[in-house]
Amino acid sequence: MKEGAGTGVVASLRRPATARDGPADPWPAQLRPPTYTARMPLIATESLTKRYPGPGGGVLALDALSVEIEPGIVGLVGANGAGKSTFLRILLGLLAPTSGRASVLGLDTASHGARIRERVGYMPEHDVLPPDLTATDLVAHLAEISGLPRTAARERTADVLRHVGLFEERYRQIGGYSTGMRQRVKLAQALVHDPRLLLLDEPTNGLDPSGRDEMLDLIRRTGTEFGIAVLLCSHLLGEIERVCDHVVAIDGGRLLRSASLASFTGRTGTLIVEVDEGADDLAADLVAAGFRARVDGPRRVLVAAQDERPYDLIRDAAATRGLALIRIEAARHRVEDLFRDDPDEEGARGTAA
Amino acid sequence: MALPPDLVAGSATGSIFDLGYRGYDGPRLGRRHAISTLFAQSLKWTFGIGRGGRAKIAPFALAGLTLLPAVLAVGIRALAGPATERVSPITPQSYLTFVQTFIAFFVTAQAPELLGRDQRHHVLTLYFSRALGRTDYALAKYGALVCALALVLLVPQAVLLLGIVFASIDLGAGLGEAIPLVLPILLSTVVAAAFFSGIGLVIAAFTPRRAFAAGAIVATFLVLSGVVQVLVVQGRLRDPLRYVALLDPYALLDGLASTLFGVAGRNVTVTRSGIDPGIFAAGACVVAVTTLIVLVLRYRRIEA
Repeated sequence: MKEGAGTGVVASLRRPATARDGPADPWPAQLRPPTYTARMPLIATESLTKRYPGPGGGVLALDALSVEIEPGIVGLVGANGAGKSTFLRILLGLLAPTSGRASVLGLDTASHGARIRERVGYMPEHDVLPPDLTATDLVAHLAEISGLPRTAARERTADVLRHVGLFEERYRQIGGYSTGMRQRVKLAQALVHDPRLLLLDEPTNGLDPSGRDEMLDLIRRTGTEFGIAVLLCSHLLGEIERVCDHVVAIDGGRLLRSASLASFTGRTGTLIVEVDEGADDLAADLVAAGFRARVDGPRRVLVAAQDERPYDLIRDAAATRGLALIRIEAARHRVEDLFRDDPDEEGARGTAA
Repeated sequence: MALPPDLVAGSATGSIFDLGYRGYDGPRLGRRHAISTLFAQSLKWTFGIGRGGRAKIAPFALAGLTLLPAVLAVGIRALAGPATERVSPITPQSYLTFVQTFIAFFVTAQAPELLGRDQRHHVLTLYFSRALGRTDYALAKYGALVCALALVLLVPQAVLLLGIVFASIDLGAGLGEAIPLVLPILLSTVVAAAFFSGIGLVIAAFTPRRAFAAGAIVATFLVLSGVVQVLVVQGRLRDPLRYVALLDPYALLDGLASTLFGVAGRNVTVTRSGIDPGIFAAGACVVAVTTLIVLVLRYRRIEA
């Protein structure tokens, strides 16, 4: 992208940066969360635990989860039942944790739930829309419930609905909407009060591929152009990879890992060597030279490579034996690897031979 | 990121073509605004305002029926003059008895509409993820229905009072008769509105399905009062058992009116049970308060 042109336009679209936290903030002083500054973690939890009561000790949805999340577009990834929705509901102050604590925008969820909810937009996973209202009426009403005066609520509703791509349909009853349109209404109601943070729970649920692309694009733009932090929950790793800068992975209510997307998909320290034939011979040569290597299929050799040395050796061995070398590639982690029992399993298998 | 070409072009020429996303820097009015918004919207919804034409039929028809006895009474008074007491049973003191069934139907039609809809379609999640608290929600809905019922009840009673004032021989006598009635009318109306709203909303809060909730509300008012009345009149109940009379919702309201206006009760359950009307009046207040508490507690725990 052209950096200069792009940022210039974006800056003019966004309000001045000082408006969010500085003295120009038009919030009444008693309502403005006074402690939050941009440098604080957006979300912080400390051994957050949630046990739903039930037979046999109940269900442990969150198990001593401690994590700090910085502003940006953050993906919260985990299988269904990993505790994602529970996590969001605790952040909103809708659900009390069994133990531990959480803060959002520098505010404790247990004591400042209402203040957090004023500045957070929440898009729930399930269908939450009354069928007998028009999108305009519903979103404007919810904007007022979020504290916006009536005329401002109406204006922002029109803005936001246009923004999510609802035009003439917005005067029709929601009951007649397609799934894609409903998801857009759900996103619009989460954005209408101009939150600092958007919590999105499976926003692409039930969408067809093109609807998913549009929704993800919209989310990406919300995070980058509008300056709103986004926490995107999904069980689909592909979505997280496309949209997020940072990934928090949870499984069984526990934190697996929290890191930048780049570090998730970084190099594994394994080289994939592909040859036309003679993979066995090449692997034998490499092992003989003191490297850990093994054959992976008829045409592939996996080589453990901590530095640059194997490259020359592979080239020379291939030349000596007259093998057609097709490619040498550094294997990259995939986000999926997180959910294997051992994240380094693939590397380990590669070096075992 | 790639910006839409029209956006770039618009800003390059300095014209506002597509504003894109704009932030909001205006005032944020917080929780109090959220409560008053929900209250106002619910009050309008109770009368079908802001909904389709069909939603207005039931509330306005029932409000009209509630007004009918008052109009009749004023007409009779204008014709019969001072002899009214003997001709017309419809007085401010007895007015509630004549319209209680209309009010019961009003609650049957509107209480499930106020609460059940948000539960059925999981709209509560959208409310409770905002500045609005759970208790705020319950109180706003309750307040809306109480105000709606008070409005439906007060307009006809105001007509009755005006009828007394202007049909009297001289204005002074009319005012003298009407003014002492104002306070009992206000008090009995408020308690009755809270009584009907509380029962209706508690039932609606526990039964999101509209048909079930409506059936249960009708049963509570019409069937329960009928059954209790038969028991009291036919049953010749002995001492602890005769207090079953306190389960008749209409008897409680009649006890309330007769106590506040200082007249004899009209309801058969009250007169035949031999229990002091004051106890019925106290029962009405207890029901009004208890149902409100139950409603708030229900919304504390309700899933959203």
